[in-house]
Amino acid sequence: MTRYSLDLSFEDFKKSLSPDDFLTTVPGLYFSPRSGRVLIVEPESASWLVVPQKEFGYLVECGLLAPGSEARSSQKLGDLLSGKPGLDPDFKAELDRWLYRLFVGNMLAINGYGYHQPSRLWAVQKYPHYFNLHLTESCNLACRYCRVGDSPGPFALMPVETCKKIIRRVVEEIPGTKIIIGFHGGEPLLNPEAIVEGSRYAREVARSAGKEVTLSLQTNGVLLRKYSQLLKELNIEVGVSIDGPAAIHNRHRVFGSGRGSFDEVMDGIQAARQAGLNPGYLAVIHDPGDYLPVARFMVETLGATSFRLNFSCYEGRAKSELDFDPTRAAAFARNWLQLLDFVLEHHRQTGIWLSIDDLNLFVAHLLTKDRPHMCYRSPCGAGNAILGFGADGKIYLCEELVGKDQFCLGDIETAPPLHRLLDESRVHARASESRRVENVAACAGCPWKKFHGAGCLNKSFEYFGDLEHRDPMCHFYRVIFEELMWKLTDNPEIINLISYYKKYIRVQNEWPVVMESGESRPGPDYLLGE
Amino acid sequence: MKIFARNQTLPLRPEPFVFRLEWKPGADWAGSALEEIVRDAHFIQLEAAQPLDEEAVDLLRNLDSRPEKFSLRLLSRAEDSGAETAKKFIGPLSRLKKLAAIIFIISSRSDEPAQTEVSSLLSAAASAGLKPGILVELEPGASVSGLEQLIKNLRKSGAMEIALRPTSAANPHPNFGKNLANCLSHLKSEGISVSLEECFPGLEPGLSALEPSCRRAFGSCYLDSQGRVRACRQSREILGDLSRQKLEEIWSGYLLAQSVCAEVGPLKTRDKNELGPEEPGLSMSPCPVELDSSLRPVPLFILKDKKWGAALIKGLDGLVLSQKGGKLARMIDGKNTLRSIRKKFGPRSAGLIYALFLMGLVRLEK
Repeated sequence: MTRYSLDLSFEDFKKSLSPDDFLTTVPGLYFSPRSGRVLIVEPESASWLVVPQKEFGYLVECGLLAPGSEARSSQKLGDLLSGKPGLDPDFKAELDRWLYRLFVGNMLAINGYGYHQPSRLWAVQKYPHYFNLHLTESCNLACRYCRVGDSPGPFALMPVETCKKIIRRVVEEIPGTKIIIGFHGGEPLLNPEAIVEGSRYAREVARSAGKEVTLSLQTNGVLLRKYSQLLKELNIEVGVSIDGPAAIHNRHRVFGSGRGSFDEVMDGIQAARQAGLNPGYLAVIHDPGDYLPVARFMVETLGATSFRLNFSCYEGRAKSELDFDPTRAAAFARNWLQLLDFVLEHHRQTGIWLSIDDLNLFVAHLLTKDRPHMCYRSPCGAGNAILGFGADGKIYLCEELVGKDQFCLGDIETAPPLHRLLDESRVHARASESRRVENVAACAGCPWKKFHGAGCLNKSFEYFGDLEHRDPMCHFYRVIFEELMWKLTDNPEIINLISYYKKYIRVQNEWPVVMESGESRPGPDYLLGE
Repeated sequence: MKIFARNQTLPLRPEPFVFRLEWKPGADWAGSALEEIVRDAHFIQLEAAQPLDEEAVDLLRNLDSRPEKFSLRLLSRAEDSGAETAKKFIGPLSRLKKLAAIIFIISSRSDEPAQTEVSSLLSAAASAGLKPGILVELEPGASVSGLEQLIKNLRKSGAMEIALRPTSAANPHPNFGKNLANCLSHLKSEGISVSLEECFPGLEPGLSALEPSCRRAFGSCYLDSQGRVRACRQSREILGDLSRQKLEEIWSGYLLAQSVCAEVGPLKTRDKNELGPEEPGLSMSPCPVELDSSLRPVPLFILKDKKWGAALIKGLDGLVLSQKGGKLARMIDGKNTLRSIRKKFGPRSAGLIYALFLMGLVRLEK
């Protein structure tokens, strides 16, 4: 049926309308007025629309929107304008267009149902593609926010045979043709033998299984001078954790003695570049005021155009070493949003669009129903997109959960075939069910639930002690999604920030943005053209 | 609880599933009665009659750790507590998993410094991941001028829920109802939803199309700190006393709620197995178009089995069904189609599903 096909054009919609069509309002919409406009969000299908105040008032008057009502009101299309002589003629002339915008935004049901079928959106993959091996929990640094607890170690190294067994079993037993093996820790470069043997073995078994394997490694950078050449030869993608300029980096990324590691890390990065590696950069922000200086450092000092900024979390050593103000999310959101101006300014000056994770991803979430990143699905990717492996060969739902018995699925030595392990695991089933937004009380009624998902299982578990909670930083996401909607409305250029996510997503046909002046902007497709 | 028309009969009288508790240290419902409350509750709303203190937070922690599934709402007088005191509790409160909302009570006559304090509280609560709201108390006889601006300011400060209630049941001045309805209608046209926490004497039902969330003594009840059970906060009629009775015994008295709430229509009981004429939806206008029979109703409610049938609950709202209606509601699972439900329950089932659809209790999907 044309009206419900996902490439419905306005013309086709208009042609399909009949005076007998039965229109009903949709309950549970979120309304946010600001500066003469109203943002409307439909939580179930993650749709949104900005409407000028005047037209919003008319839509309410016509009974097409009903703020504050959980019941639906209904009417036939043919009766819509009767008894409303006071409506603006321009609004009446554009009524079909408004019906179309509301319909494709799931804010209006026609003949009982809506354009998007919420329960059919956001397919979650069945089996993981990313396997993260903790080669050791030992580390040559003692970062104050490390997810590993207070124990200084030393921790065991993953035996080469265990590493190879994990690699063979995931390649052979997990369905799928593309896999990623990530070497993690602790500091994975403390176990070079496993990296060398594991990498060579991974390529060998993947080749025989007809699969494509990508190898990656996340390091603190201190040992990069020693191992860069080797990593280049092994064709491993390298990510370096560096928290910004020395004054910021050295606050938390320290050696056991308390001395900052900035000089060693910068030296490692230099060596990596000399070896021909093109490392990715990741910074952890604990003081929200650091967002901008860190971003500047990444761009101006490291010359990066793509990097990731994470915030510190209440877990591991951070619980005892750092302060976590329960109301910190607002300051993080406020400062994070400044990155947007930074990126726009950088583009104005250089013509280059920076790609900052997750700024790029969150812009993408506003434009598409796809959720390319596993952490922002419902349920999250734990056990369905990722598996974590401890140095002892134990199997966990996610790399962040390595070492937590509650989330252990088994042991690589004794586990049944891994696809069967996942199919039959009660730990996996319980986590998947618990982390659906519908099953997390604070998420179920949240307007942003399908933009963000229920958040990180691990961070929720660390903060609240169980699986049934929201993400402890959920206010951060609530603020930034709403602000991004307003900013995107005012400046559609922001769509260019989706960067490499454009290859994963299908942007909706019509992206109805209404400016403060009431002028409508065209959809985004022209901006996406390469 | 939805009521279809003022004079229409109600299908059944449920036990309340929204409990509004007045909290003071040593509250008489805090002992064994609490066990009965948590067993039956879908929502427990705790209103701190005194400034928020450790004891109240401990009670909330205790309720939060209960295995039963219910949600908590906390009402706290921001002006009495002082922003600094209340802020002290926001951290501990943010760790409660059942706390669905924290509502700050403010008078419509509060001065600018008080409003600033409340704004700061709203912002702190939101930042901690809580869902903050505002309950504005209107003085009887107060003018509603200034109310609109107050509500706009509080919405801007982060109030996700905004509700009104009168300070007492006294009748306000003659134009009060009309002025309030105009004010609310204007706010609605700007995208600001305001609900009524309780009935407003003088506000004609339907004038502002607002349903008081006390649901006219239907599905909701009020327990004062002395353990006396009333239909709502305004009601003076005592339905039971927890110092002498169990809640279960009180609910039979609750059937007399008609006498304590003028808005409640007469009760009528009937055969629990009948999908009878009082079943919601069957007395409503039929759907104006024939719904596609391949549509699948998706539940937006939580179903609670009761000995007399079933309650379908969504937020503070709900609906009671007979046992047969309950069986039909269990078929609403997002998998069964309208066709398969009609096949099992007959053509009249379409009317019930249409009613549930209009009440926002189901969504229809292809």
